[in-house]
Amino acid sequence: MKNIRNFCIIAHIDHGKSTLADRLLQVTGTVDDRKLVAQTLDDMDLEREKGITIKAHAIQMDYTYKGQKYVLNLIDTPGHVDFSYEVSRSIAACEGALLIVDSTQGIQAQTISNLYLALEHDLEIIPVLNKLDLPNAEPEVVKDQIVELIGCERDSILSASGKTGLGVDSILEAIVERIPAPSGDVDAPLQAMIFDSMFNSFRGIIAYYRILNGTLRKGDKVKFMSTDRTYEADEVGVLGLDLKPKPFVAAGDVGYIISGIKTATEVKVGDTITTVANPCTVAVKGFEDVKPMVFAGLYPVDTDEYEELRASMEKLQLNDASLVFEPESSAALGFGFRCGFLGMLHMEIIQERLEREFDMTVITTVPNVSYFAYTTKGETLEIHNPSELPPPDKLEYVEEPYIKAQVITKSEYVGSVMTLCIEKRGILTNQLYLTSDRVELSFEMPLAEIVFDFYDRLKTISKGYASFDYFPAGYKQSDLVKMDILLNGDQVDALSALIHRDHAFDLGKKICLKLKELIPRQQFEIALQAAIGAKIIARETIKALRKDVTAKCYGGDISRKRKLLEKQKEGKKRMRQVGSVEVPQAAFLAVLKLNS
Amino acid sequence: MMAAMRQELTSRSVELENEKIQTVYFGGGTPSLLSYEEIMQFFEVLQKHYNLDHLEEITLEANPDDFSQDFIYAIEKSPINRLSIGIQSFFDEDLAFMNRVHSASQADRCVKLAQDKGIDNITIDLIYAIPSSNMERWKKNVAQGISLHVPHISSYCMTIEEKTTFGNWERKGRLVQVPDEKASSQYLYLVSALEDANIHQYEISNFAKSGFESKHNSNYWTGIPYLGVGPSAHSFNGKNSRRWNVSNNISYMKKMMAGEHYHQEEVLTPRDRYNETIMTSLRTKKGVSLEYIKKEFHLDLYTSFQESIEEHMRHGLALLENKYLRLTPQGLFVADKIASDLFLLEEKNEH
Repeated sequence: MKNIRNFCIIAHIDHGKSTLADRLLQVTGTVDDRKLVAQTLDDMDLEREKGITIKAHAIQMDYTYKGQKYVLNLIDTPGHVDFSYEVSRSIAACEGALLIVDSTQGIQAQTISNLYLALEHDLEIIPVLNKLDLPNAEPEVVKDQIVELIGCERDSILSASGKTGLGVDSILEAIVERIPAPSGDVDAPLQAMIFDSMFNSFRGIIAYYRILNGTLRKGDKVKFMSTDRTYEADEVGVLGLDLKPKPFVAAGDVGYIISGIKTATEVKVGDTITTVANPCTVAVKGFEDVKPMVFAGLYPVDTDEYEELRASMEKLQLNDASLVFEPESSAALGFGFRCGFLGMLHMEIIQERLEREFDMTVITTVPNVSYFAYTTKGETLEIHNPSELPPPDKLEYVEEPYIKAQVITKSEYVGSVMTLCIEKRGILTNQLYLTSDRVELSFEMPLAEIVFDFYDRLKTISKGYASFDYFPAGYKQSDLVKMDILLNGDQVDALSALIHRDHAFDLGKKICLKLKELIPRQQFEIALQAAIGAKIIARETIKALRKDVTAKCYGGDISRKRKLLEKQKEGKKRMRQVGSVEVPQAAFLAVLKLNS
Repeated sequence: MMAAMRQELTSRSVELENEKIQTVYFGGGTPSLLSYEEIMQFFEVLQKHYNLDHLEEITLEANPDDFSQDFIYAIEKSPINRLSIGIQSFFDEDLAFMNRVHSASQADRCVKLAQDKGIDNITIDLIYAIPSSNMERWKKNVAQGISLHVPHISSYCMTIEEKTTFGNWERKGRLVQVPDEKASSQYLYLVSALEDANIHQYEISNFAKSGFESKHNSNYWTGIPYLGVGPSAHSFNGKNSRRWNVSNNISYMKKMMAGEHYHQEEVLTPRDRYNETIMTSLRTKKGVSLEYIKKEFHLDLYTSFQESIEEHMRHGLALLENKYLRLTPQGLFVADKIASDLFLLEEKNEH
C-alpha cells in the first residue's frame, strides 16, 4: 500500500489537462506511442470536442522511482457544476491532486471551486504551470497567483508543457514524493466507495471504486449499502488502458467490479461496497442520491420516431443513471418524454449524444425546475411541467427550489455580477475577498433563475472570468404564474413557462420579441401573444412574407442558390405546425436565448 | 488576360463540338473597355473553332460612361448586335448612393447615342428598393426607361449582402433596407407599368417586348449548355456538370499559361437537376412544365406537393394552367420560398 498513489487533476477547460494526462501515460509506458490517440482519457467524441471531461474515468500506471515500483492511479474528474457531486466523489477517492494552470492565462475562476473541494478533503496539491512552450507564457505572474491562492512555496510549483513533454518526469517524481500513500487496513471489513461506473454492452455495468479498507476478492458476495442489493463479484481488477482482471483488489487501490448488473440506476456514485460475509458497520460518508434538477420535454423531430427515441434514451440511461424520463405529450410537439437532468449542461450533452450516437434530432422544450403545488384541497403535487399546475382557483400556493450559489470572479466584475444576481431574484449573503483581486460572492436564489440564460450572461458580463457553483437549499413559497404563448390565438403548450409574477410583463414582452425574430414570415400575418390566464400581457405581429427572391439567377448563381434553398427546405422540415403557423425548433427554446 | 482567355476558348472548343452556338455574351467586369481589335480577336477564335451558323444574339455589357467615340465605333463595326447598359437609375442621388461613376445625364444620353447609330436591340438595367429613393422617384425612373423605347428592361431589387460595403453600413445603422412591403409595391408597380407599355415580364427580373426576350439569359433557365471563359466564369454541359474558373485574375492567367488546372467542377445528381429545374423555371413567366418534370424525373409534381401547391394557389401566388405551374407577379416575388417548398431533399440514411 505504501507504493500506491491516488491522484486527480484539477484544471480549467483548455488548460491542457488531457494532453498532460496523455504524457503521463506515455512516459510510464501505460500506453505505447503508436496507440496514443490524442487525449486518451476522454473516450467520448463529445468530450474531446467540448474540451471537457463529462464522465470520470480512471487509469492505473506503473512507475519505477529510485529502484522502487509504484502504482499511480489517475482518477479523472468532470469539470462542470452540473457534475459537482461526481467531482466530489472522485476527489474523495484521492490523496493528492495536480492543479494544472495555463501559464498564458493564469488561474481561472472555474478551477477554484474544485480546488476548494480538494483542500476540504485534505488532498496534497501539486501546482503545475502548463503550456510553458508558448511565447506568451507569463510564468512569474501566474506563480504569484498560485502562491497567493493556496499558500504554497514558490519553488514547489512545477513547470510543464504537455505539448513538448517538458517537466513530465518531475511531475511523476512529485506525485511519488509529495502525495501521501493511502492508509487503510487490508484485513478490515471491506469498505469501497464507488466513484464512477460505465456500461459495457457485453458485460453490463462496470463500477469503479476506491477501496478504503479491506480486500475485494473475485467470487465474493458483495452488498451495495445504499440500495441494499447483493451481487457476486464475477470479476475484479484494476484499470489499465483496458480492464486488467486480478484475483483481488486491496485497501488503498482503485479497481473495478463486474457483477452482472444490467441497470445503471443500481450503481450509485458515492455508494459503499462491502462483503455480505463480513460487512463494515458504516458506509463511506458523503453519499447522496443525486436527483434531477432541471426538467424539459424531449420530442422527436419526426413524430413517428417516438419509439426510436425511447429506445435511444433507454440505451443512454444504461451509462448515465442521472438521466430520468417519462412519456408525455404536447399538442404542438406530439409524443415525447419529460426528462430530468442534473443541470443545463447535462441537458445539452444528452441532446448532443442523442444526435451523435443515435442520429436522433430532438426538439427540447423550455426547461423548468421541479415545484411543489399546494391545492385548496390540501394536496401537495410535485410539478415537473407547467401544464401540471392546477388552475388558480384550485391553487393555494406554490413552492420553488432555492439554491445557495457561489460566484467567484475578479473584483472588477463584482458590481455587474451583483446586478445580475439581484435581477435573478438573488439575495447576497456574503462577500469575501479570496485574494486582492478575486472575490467570492454568495447568494441565495431560486434555482429556476439559473435555468433562464444565467450562465451565458454571467459569462458575458465577467468576460468568462467567473465560476459558478451551487447547492440545493430547500423550497420556499413563491408568487409564480403560468405564462402561455399564443400564435394566432392557438396556445403553444410547449412554450408555457412558470415564472415569477414580477417578471411576467417584462418576460412576456421579451419572449414575444424573440419569437418575432425566430419565427420566419409566412404567407399570412401572425399574432404573437403572451398571456396569464385570459389576460394578454404582451403582443407582437409578424407581418406576412412579401419578398423572398434573389434578383439575379444567371450562370454562376444557380448552384449556390440551389444549395441555399436546399438548406432552407432542410430547416423547414424540422419545423412544427401550431395551427397554421410553422414554428422552427429554435423558437421552443426562445425563452433561454432572450439576451443573445 | 486576353491571350489567356483566347487560349481557354480555343482549348475548350471540343466541349461544344456538336453544338450550334446561339448566343455570345461579353459580360462581367467591364467588357466595354475592349477595343474593336480585341473584340474581333475573340470572334476570330470563335469562327475558327466553333459552329456559328445559328448565332443570333451577341450582347455586350456597357456602362453609361463608356460611350466614347471609339466605343461607339467598336460596336458599330463589330458583329455585336445587342447592348446591355447598366443604367441603374436616372437620378444622380441614387447613382451617388450606389457609388456609380456615371451621371444621370449620361444615363439619359447613352441610349440615344446607340440608337442614333442604328443599334436598337438594347436592354437597360434599373434598380428598385434603393434605400435613398422612394416610390415617387421609382415611378419616374420607370417612366423614363419606357420613354427610351428600348425593347428590353432588366430590373433588380437592391439586395444588401453581408460582408459588402452596404452590409457594413446596414450593420452600423448608416443604411436601412427598404422594408419588404415597400420593395414589393415598387416591384408590382414596375410589372404593371411595363405591361401597360407592352413590355412583358418573362422572368422575375426580366421584361421585354414580344420577340425581344434575351435568348442568352433564357438559356440559363432551360438547361442549354453554356461555356464561360475568363476568371470566375461558369460553364454547364447541359447534362450534369457545372464548372467554374478560379476567380483571381492573376492566378487564372498563370494557371492558363502554365497549363495547370484552373477550374473546379460539380457533378449534379438527378435530384440536384430537379431542384435546379424547379428553381429556375419557377422564376419564369412560363413556369414549370408538369410534363417535363414527369418525363425527366418521373415525378408527378402536383400530387407530390399537392398540399403546398394548393396553399400557394389559395394565397394567389401560383396558378396551374395548361399543365404548367406558374407564379403570379406576387408569387414571383416570393419565388425562393415556393421553390424550396417543392424541392426534393436527400433521403436520410435509414439505420
